[in-house]
Amino acid sequence: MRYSELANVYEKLEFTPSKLEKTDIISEFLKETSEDVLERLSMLLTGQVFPEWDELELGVGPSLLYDTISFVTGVKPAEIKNLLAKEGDIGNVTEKILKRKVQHILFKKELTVEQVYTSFGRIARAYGSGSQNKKVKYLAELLSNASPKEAKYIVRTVLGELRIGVAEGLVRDAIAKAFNIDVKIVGRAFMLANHIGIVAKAAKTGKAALEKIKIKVFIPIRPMLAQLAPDIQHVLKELGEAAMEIKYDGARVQIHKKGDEIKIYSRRLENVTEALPDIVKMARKAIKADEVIIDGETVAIDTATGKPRAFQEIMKRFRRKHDIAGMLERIPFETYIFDVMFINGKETIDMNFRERRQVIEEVIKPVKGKFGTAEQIITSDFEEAEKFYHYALDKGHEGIMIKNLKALYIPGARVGYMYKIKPTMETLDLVVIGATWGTGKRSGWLGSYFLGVRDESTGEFLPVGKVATGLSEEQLKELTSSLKPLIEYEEGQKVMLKPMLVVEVAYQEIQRSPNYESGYALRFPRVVRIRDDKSSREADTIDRLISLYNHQATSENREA
Amino acid sequence: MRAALEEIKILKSSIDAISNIIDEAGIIVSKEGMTLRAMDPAHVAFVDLQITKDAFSDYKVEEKLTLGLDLDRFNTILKRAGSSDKLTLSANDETTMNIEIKNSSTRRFELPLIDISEEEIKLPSLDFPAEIELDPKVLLEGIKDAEIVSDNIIFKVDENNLYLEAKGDLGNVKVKVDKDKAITFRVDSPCNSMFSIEYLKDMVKASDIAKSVKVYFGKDIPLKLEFIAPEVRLNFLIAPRVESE
Repeated sequence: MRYSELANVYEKLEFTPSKLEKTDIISEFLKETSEDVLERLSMLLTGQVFPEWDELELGVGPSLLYDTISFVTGVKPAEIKNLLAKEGDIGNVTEKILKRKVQHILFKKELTVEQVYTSFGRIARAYGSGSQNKKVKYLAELLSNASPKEAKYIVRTVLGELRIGVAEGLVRDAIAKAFNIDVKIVGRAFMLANHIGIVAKAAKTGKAALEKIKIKVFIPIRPMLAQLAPDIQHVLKELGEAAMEIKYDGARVQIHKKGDEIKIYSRRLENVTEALPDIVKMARKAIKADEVIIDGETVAIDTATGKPRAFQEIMKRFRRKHDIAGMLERIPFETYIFDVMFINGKETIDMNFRERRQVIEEVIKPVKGKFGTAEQIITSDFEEAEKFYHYALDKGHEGIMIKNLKALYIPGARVGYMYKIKPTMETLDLVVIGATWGTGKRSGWLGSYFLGVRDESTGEFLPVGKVATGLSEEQLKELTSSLKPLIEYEEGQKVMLKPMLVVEVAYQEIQRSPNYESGYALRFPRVVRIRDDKSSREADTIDRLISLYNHQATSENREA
Repeated sequence: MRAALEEIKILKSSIDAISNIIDEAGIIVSKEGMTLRAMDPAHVAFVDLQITKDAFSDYKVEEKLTLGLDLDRFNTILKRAGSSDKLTLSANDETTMNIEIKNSSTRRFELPLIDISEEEIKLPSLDFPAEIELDPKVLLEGIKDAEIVSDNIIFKVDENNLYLEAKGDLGNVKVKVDKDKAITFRVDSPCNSMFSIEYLKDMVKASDIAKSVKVYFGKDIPLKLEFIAPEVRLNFLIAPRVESE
């Protein structure tokens, strides 16, 4: 398939605001696509080249991209940055530059979707010394052969910002529509395969092929998420007898085991096995099943205080690439398993929680203080629950989870099958979309951060104000170094960033505001922590923000 | 294959001229000699190099081989050889090439070869209104002059002169070559084209192997450089830069 056909569809989607119409456009396009490119095409439509759990990533940052554009067109990087500051989008800038492209080429070959996808693969696989050069070369080859319109979408894909208002959910709906299959069946297949391309291809074959998509060891599943409940009484009234578990103050881990091989995925489904050899070792010791996928939380207990260490400390270890052995001595982990999705060739997600818990208890032979099952009580009694809640808090954990014993495991969903109870006020996980360079003592650091809230259907981030407090100097330094590679362009003191970094933000109140595109602003925002464990696609949505706004006690009735 | 070279400048200068433009390429070694034809990743420049077997003091090839080279590495090794050294290239298959530099000592380098995906290259067929043969030094110096003020150089001819021009914020440069100072001079119609100096300054590194260079160009079409040297064919093609308003 010619890449220009895809570029035309991208363009149509970009200028069609209605989600329904977008779904129609994609569904028509998928219908006409032959089976052999359907997988790659569906991935490209979401703007994601590889599934998030794949170790492959393009690894081309803004400055490398600008160098490549400059190399291909003969326009200097400084001029590209100038245009970018005016235009705000590298795709549009590239399209413009290519239209008046100064440097001609000797011959052009027409790009196909297959070629573009293959080149992306080569870009991602370039490694070792000179890998940057190779990336530039492969990308230059694409851009030299691209029409201005094609180049616009190639560079946007490279930076991971397609800006056509299409996220996986929309493609999922379009697949259902194109092949006339219940969206629930498509959705379930997607949650299990975590690969929209594979789902699209199966859907074209038919419903049966989709239903054949099963959980597979070493392909991570989106974890089931908990809902925040106002209080224990509320939940007990709804559920009656329920399971209460400690809500460990740590990081989520999904452990896959097959024979001797063990892989660990983070909450955002990244493979973090390399950084966590201690968990691998313990898991090998504790898990008494040949093949299993389990869900749990890992915590770092401070031996001096007996309480969990800050979340940031745990993330340090997840990200670690060097001196892993030294790190694991300094920050030892304890892992508590609370769910199971797959065992010995069989899915367990359709079992109820009581049965799943039984499976874990049979399968896990605890290693004291290292690896075990989540501490649990089953009760319908409020006082007993309340006591357990305080017990969890005393141990320094976040609170408790209350789980419906009859509930199934629904991957990727935040349904009322489990609730979290914690004392702190609700926070929002927002994406840093811009920042300003500090002055005076803070010069050289990115100080004040512009925050974005996610629009689920389009995958874009709507501004919701800025935050400048809540961070220590050390954190500011750390944040600056992780934000610097994300800089897309600068405008005076202001920098615009690739929306990747998630921060948890506390606030006093949500207010309506015409000043920000989201229509809302936060009053007295403060950064609680940096959420390295979350990708920007897991940031909180505008829908959640609106629901919090609708439910919050307004200033007036609070005073009353 | 085994090929020994005494006049090593031929290979050194050619590869030095090419290796900055093209990262990876296959040298085809056949009974007639060695050829390398490749295009740079941005499709702006094309190189065609042939060294015939007569250029070598000893040349043995049993079967045709394609030696996939990381040209930058190859160039780094060749740079280790001095002008009076004797150079021998040898390979048994398409996985490794041995480079031997012999003088008062024998130095042997093993260079792993790489897979080169063969790409079909379609070149435009061109009619050049201007064809001028020059002393390579004239071209080399003209390009160096132009580089002082710009990234671009304009090749321009009228009935009597060739001009190399560059315009920049820091000033302008104009090099004039009289018709009589050129070795040959054919101009069908006055014309001019602009090119990237970045590419040209690498290409003219091959100047020292040639007794003359033929320059072909026209109005906003590619420029061809043909270095004239015995036993060697070294041609470059470079696409123009065209300012559109």
